[in-house]
Order: sequence, then C-alpha cells, then structure tokens
Amino acid sequence: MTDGRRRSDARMLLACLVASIVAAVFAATEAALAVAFAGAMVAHVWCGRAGKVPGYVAGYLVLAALSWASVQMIAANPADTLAMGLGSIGIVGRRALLPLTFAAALAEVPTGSLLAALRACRLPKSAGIALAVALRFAPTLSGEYVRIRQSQKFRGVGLGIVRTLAHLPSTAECILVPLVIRTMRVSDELSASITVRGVRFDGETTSFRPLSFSLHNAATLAWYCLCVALSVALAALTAQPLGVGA
Amino acid sequence: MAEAVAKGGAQEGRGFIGLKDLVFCVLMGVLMLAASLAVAFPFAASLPMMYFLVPALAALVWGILLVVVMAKCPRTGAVFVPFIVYAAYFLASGSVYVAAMIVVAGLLGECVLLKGGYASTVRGFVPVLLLGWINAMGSTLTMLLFRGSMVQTYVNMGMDAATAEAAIAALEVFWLAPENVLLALVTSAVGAVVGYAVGAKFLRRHFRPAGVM
Repeated sequence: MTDGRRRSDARMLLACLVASIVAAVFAATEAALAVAFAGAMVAHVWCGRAGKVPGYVAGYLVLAALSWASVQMIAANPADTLAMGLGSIGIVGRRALLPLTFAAALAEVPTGSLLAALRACRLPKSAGIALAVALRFAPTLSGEYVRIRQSQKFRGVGLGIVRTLAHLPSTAECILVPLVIRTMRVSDELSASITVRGVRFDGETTSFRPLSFSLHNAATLAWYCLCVALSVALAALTAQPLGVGA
Repeated sequence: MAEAVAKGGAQEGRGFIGLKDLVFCVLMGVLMLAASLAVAFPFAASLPMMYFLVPALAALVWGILLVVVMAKCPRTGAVFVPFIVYAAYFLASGSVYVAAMIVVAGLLGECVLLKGGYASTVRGFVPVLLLGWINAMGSTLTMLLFRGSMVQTYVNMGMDAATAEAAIAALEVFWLAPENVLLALVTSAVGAVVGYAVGAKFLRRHFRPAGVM
C-alpha cells in the first residue's frame, strides 16, 4: 500500500464522491466535464492511485469517441436510433465515470477504517456495515460466477453461444440457482465473521488504524471541490442557450 | 434456546431485520444489481430493446431474487435493503432522480408488506412490480435529467444547435410517447409476474430441498 493510499481518509473520498455527483449533474458542456475529470484524475494521483488513472482516461476517451461517432451518424441520418443509443452511452457514461472512480477508491479503504469513518460522520452503523459488505462482495460475486461457469462447461452445459441461446431458460436456471445458494452461504460466513469481530448494531467499535483527516486529505478535497466549482461555473457561462421547447 | 432467540430479537428490534439478515439482503441487492447490468449490457446500444425488453428481463430476474429475500428474511426492512443498494448505484453514477424514485418505491413496497405482508402472495408481488416499473422509467428519467448535457455535447462536437435540439426532441418523442410508456410498463409487469412465479417454483424445487431456507 502506497503512502498516498494509507493517508486517504474515507470521509475525504465520500466528500469527493458527492462533489462528483454535483459535477455529473451540472457540468453540461464538454469543457466543463473535462475540467471536472482532469481535477478528479489529479486527486486520484495525490491519493496514490496513479496506476488507475490511465484506465480511467482510456475509458473517458472511448466514451468521448462514442459520443463523437454518434454525432457524425446523427448528422447523416437524424432518425438513427443506434446513433442515439451510442450517444446516450457516451454522454451519460462519462458523467457516471466521475463518481464511480471515487466509489472504486472507497472500495479499497480497509473495512475497519471505513466503518470508523462513517461512524465519525454520524451515520448509523448499519449504513457502514451495508456499504462495506456491498463493496467487498462484488469481486467475490464475479469469482463465484466464473467457478459456476467452469463447472457448467465441465458438465457440457452452456457451451457456445448457439447452445446457450437454444437452451436459455435452463442455462439461466443453472447459473442463477447455484449463484443464489452460494450467496446465502457467503452471507452466513460473512455475518459470523462480522459477529466474531465484535461488530454489532449497538456498542462502540474502535478502528485498528487511527482515523486522521490530515492536511493532505484536506488539500485533496479542496482541490477537487475547486475543480468542480470551476466546471459548474464554466458550464453556466459557456452553455449554448437552448431552443424553444427545451 | 427459545429465550435466547427472543432476547436476541428484542435487542435487534422485534420484527426488524438483524445483522445477519442485513448482510444477506445487501448481498442479494448486489446480486440483483449485477444481474440487471448483465441483462442490460447486450442491448445497451438499442433504444427499443433498452426500453421494452431489458426492463422485462430485469424484472424477471428480480422477481426470482426478491421471492428468495422475502422467504429467507420475512422481517420489516428486508425488501427495502436491495432497493437501497440499487439506488446507491444510480446515485454513485449521477442519476439522482432515479435513485430518489427507487428509494420511494422501496419505502412504498415495505409499507405494503407491513403486518403480515411477507406471508401474502398478492402483497409480496408489489415490490417486484414497483422495481420493474421504476427500471422501465429509469432511462426516461435519466434522459430528462441529462437533456441539457446531451444538447451541449452535440453542439460542442460540431453539430449546430438546431440539429442538436431536433435530435434530442426525436429521442424525447420516443421515450415520452404514451403508447411507448404503456408498452414499457406492461412488458415490465409481465416480466415481474413471470419472475415472481418462477421464484416461487425455484423455492419449492431448489432452495428448500437444498436446506438453505
């Protein structure tokens, strides 16, 4: 774990996530969105997540390319529904990318620190437990799905697209039922693990890692909030006036 | 043993979900979210499919999963938690209106299930139907929220303002046409009915014999 990640407080990441949602809603122009996205990438570098930035930038560029392609297709044929679909993916996807990058950062915060940070924000303990469980379960779920598919292939079920489509209901049943049963087993193990570690709805819990909202966290948050404010102001100043009926 | 169970229930809030139920409901919420994304992904570029088919397929899967949740944790709050997980995903991706509507639908569903609703066949169907309808209208709400952004993007990428407005207006006509809205609601309701029935069947055929209920 890098020094930057060790210093990233969950509260700072939560505040950045909220700021990202504001940017996603109000940064209406391309320039404004680019400012918010650039600010987010700088914040991620400061948080010691520089390795993730190229992937996020690549995703942003791919979605921007989709938007551009849809514009060219709509210019050629205004009734092209595929172009409109691609455009929607490109536009909404880039806005969704902003808060999702901070949600991914939150998923990397140690569980105890996450619970302690949410408790310090005066949120109910159940909210912290639910968030920690949800963030930790997603990779487990994908692992369970891969194991189920491998087991199916070993038994000759769901091999190839044609066979899967020809027997779609039974293939879906063969995936969904074991997935649900495994989820139940995982939830039993997880709740036993949580209980053994003394996490309950009542009572106080202490974090092994002390919480500290350091100057580094404050500076990162201030930087990103400034970028979001700039992007919203830029959108308000440079947005084209919409036509009648907008 | 019975006294310990009763005491535990009193400490956690009688009739409300406890820690173990919360963990299970959160995991099922994540599973429901993953299933809805998996169902939507192959059709993401096709507006008619996203509007009419995807909500029906998603409601089918949710019907099965919500039946499992209601059978495993027949306590107040069990159905609301998956709604919260789903709403949190939309909130984290910037769709504030959709997230708010999902939370309202979850509260409504939980209210319907008060006082023995979890054991009722008819009332148990209501949260499934509500989630299916919200998902059917979610894309419409998202489009309305980001309408201005879509016009600005088209203009910034070289389209003139009038053409951009016309393109978005054509999109709005599709999403907001009363017959399309009705068709989307009907297909998602059909998916919810089928999912609920299949969920009850899976409960009898798979989950109860496996000893997980």
